[in-house]
Amino acid sequence: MSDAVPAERHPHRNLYGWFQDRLNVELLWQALFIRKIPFGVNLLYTLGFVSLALFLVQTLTGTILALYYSPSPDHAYDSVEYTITQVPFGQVIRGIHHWGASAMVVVVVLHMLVTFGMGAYKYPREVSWWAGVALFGLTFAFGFTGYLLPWDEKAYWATTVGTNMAGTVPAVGNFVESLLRGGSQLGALTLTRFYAVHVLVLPMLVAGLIGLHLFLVVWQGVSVPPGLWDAALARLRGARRAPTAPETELEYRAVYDDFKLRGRRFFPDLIVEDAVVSTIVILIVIAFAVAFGTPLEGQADPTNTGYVPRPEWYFLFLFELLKYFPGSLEWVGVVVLPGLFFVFLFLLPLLDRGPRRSPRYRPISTAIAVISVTAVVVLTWRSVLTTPPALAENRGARLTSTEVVGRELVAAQGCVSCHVIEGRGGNVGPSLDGVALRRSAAYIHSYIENPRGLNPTAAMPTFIPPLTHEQVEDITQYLLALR
Amino acid sequence: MDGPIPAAQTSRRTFLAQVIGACVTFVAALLGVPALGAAIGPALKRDESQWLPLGSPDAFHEGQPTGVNLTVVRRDGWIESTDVKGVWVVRQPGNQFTVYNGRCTHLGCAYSWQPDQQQFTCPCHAGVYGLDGHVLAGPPPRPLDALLTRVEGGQLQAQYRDFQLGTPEQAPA
Repeated sequence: MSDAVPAERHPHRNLYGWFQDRLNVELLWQALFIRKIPFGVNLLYTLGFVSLALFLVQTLTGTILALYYSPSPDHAYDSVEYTITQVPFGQVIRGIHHWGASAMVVVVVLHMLVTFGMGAYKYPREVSWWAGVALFGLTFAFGFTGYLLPWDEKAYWATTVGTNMAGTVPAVGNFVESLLRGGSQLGALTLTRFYAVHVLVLPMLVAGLIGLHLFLVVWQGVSVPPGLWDAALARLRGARRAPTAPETELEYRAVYDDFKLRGRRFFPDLIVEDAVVSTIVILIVIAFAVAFGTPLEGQADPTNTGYVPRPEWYFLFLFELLKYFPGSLEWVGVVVLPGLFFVFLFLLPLLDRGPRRSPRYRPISTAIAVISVTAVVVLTWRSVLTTPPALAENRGARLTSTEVVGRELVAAQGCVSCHVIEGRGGNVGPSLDGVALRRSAAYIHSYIENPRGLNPTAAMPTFIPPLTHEQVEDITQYLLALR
Repeated sequence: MDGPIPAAQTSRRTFLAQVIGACVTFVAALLGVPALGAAIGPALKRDESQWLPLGSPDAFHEGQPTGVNLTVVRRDGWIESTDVKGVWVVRQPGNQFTVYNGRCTHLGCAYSWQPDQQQFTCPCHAGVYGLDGHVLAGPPPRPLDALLTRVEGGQLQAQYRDFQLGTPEQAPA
């Protein structure tokens, strides 16, 4: 385009002038940032920007985590433990990534619901909607591939169940399951596969789709709130009531241009709203990361029969749905229903071509949205209610006398305020369930005796004194018995 | 298009732009500081030397060097490996201890103490050292490598290190 070269030379021979003479950055700035945003745009429109901001936060924290992560069953767990105990700010960065993922799901779903409610998927923004539906699906794919990576109990068992679900599909199930796992077993090949998808494939796809989504937002402009739009279209036609026929191209241009004329500037009037809301959401994520930390359960143990696997909260509805389908029809619940839901989302702009945008005038699609949201909320809630409070209580049943003494000492010393023991406890320190798989008796004993001797940055206090060597050995024997 | 912009409008926009700048700076600092700290911190960490226990000082007697196997834990990020390294403990007059790296300075063979000859001999190329570590005969280019020692909490401790072999000067391996 000849517009890319300005008609006049920039008066100043500085760096800015050099770029201006070649790229016409002033025109670019005008087109991208000083453009008018239609009248009526409100705070609900910030959700897209917040999703983008969270994606950037995930990219940053994910990159840092990748610096200290080893995608191998031998080392994955230790490397995550290293990140949270040895790397400065490692704990908080992992926390931000963990809670950021949840925030991302919440914000993306809200963004989609708002878009749906406003009928913004309608002419001419169908392509934007499709890119958004794909991004919505990829957000969940990020979640699913992400939580295998720490290789703790939750990672192992939730992924075992998740990949087995694919295996229930008739005919192609086994093939898909092997494809997901990189083999017939969940193991080293699954971990590298999930890692590659999580850090290479998905980010590239998402970045590309975000690019398309953003380009379309700038190129087409955002939609006008549906009530205002329906009223304006009716006014243009001189009708009293909401429009009964879809707008023609000329009508669309006339109404949209009018809203744009009365609108606000993108910079700084609207960006300031995006910036403030994004800052608040990021602060909430950081607050969650600091206040609640991030769970790291015991290292994955394929022989553990006491573990009760539960997926992340945003997959609980799917988990619960499974219970309502008898064995042979399971795949209908876990693959067909979600699949149909995605097909519905993709076809939506083609199916709903009615003239009105306001949700009250779109009873069928509004009903589908309300039913879907209610179903997901109810299923999630039921699943939360049926989750056992913690792992089995009476694990002390088959302990030796030494181990029982150790167990009492552990209770008296309040070890659970920092460590998960028998399925419950704090997450300041690593979980001690399954510690026998990771550490030798000598190591555990020395660590309790003097944590700084083995880990110079340990926050754990020295326990000899107050305890004696014999007592520490009792504790060690008990900890080794923890599964 | 817009016509002339009133002054109030421009100062409002300047303020909003400042709010945007403040938000961006705030979030960038809030996330940037931990991110940089996490990215740079471990890279600058020096290997801290470990004091390894050799046992009670009373277990060693003057004029009788004793071979001790030290378990050295090596940490490479999250990978931990243990190596067993041999050293010789020599009790000097006046409660002083010298601990020699157990490898001959010539080519790294394990030498041993010959009580009847009162000297260390290396079986590979017949290097011979005295009780004070000095070369008495053979090809070794320098005396035995002494390690840092201390007595703490009633325990003799040493810092294990390996040195370059076959050179007259002692340099870290």
